[in-house]
Amino acid sequence: MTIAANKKPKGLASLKMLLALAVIINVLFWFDSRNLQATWTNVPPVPSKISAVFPTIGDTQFASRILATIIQNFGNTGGRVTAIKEYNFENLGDWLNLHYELDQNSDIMPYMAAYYFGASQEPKKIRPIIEYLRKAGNNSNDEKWRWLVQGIYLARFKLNDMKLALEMADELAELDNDEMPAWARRMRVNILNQSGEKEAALELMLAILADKADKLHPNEVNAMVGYICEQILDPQETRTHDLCKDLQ
Amino acid sequence: MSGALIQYVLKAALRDKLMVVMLLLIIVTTSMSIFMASSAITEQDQFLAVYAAGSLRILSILGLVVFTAFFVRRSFDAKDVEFLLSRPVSRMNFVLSYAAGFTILALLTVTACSLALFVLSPSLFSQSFMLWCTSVMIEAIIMVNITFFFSMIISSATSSVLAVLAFYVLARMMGQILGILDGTSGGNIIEGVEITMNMVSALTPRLDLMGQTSWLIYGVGETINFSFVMIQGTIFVALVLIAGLIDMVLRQF
Repeated sequence: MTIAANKKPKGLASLKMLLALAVIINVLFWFDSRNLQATWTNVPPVPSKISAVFPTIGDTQFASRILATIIQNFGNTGGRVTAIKEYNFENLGDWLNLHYELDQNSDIMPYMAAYYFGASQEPKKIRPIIEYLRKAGNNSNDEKWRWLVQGIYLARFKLNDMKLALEMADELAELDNDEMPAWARRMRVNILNQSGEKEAALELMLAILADKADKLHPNEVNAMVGYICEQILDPQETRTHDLCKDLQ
Repeated sequence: MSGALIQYVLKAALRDKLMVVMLLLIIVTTSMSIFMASSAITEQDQFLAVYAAGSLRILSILGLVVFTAFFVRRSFDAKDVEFLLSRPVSRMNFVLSYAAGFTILALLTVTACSLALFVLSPSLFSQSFMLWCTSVMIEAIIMVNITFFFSMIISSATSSVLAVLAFYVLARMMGQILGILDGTSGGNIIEGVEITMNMVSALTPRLDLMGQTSWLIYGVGETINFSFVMIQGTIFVALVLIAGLIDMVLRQF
């Protein structure tokens, strides 16, 4: 049986009323939810290795890349950015160590630890970052030693922990890597002699660039040049320094 | 094996637009990988390779499992199987032809994924890349044959898909599970769990050792090679097919 064209189905008016009511309730709810934003509750506690690997169904490399993306985007919530100094560095160190467990060859996390998290405005908190760089750099493969160098610099001039810096310098000197330049093996003497943070940082960066720029990822070279021109040198020096010409 | 039956499976895949949908999803997945990798602060090429390879591997298995489960259940529910077996086709011939059809689909799907990965990063091409492609092909062949077997014995397509996916997760997490058990010492319960898991792992393919995305970046280690991949694929597919054949021979229509 079909409904006559001029005859409205029974109950249609009630359904329309209910639809209008549902739309009104949605709009009222919107007034309350419109200004709510997701809040970041700081660096969360680190998951276990198996929990980190589970979303990629056992693919540890895939998990490590997802983890790196998560760590890179910490503090960036709904377009709002949190200063690195506000981070919970103990938890952050645990996340970096978890990434190290999943992938000991990638340079993205040491890169971020050295140039991003290590540049925190609150240097006293960066001990977990230095410990991570110590672990990542204590590796004879490729150019990994440079992360130990970065860790030594942060320990000596940012954390002001000479004992830790010297311990790491000794570890660096004992690394079994023929490609490592002589100045890296002499780090103990260098950090004992250098008194100024600026001179030390500049010397370190220029030495790495001079020796190894051709073997590093272009992004890392750019980050080092940016660090020299924007963090180490003052505006006056930046204008005259050869390395900084392209940035002006 | 019957060429007509194999064609029947392939035509069903065409009719269900499996390959068209898979191609669209491959394009979407690779595009998402490009987007995600470009946000990395460094090593974008490595991120791209890993994101694309890891996602395409999961995508190909999901697509093949869903198609196989629903196709097999539909064949039984619509009495297609009874009709086919009323023709001069033996039960063994039926199982092997269907398995061959699904295997061809698995090869086509993974070939498309591998080509997409190659087009995305031609610099990846190496022996490790070839081993990755081969092992994902073998993994897909194993999974379609497991799905075929599960769908014969489980009467609901949805339950069959869920059971196969649970098996897939187990097979890919087996290395992690065994590693945890090796590193855990405890009382009788832990020992019982260890014995049980060892028994389960003896009949579960070690998919955690196959298709590792790390191969694409750092190369293959010494433990995995082409012969390991082929041997594992052969013995597990043989096990599943024999179980499927027994089920088919004993089945009452």
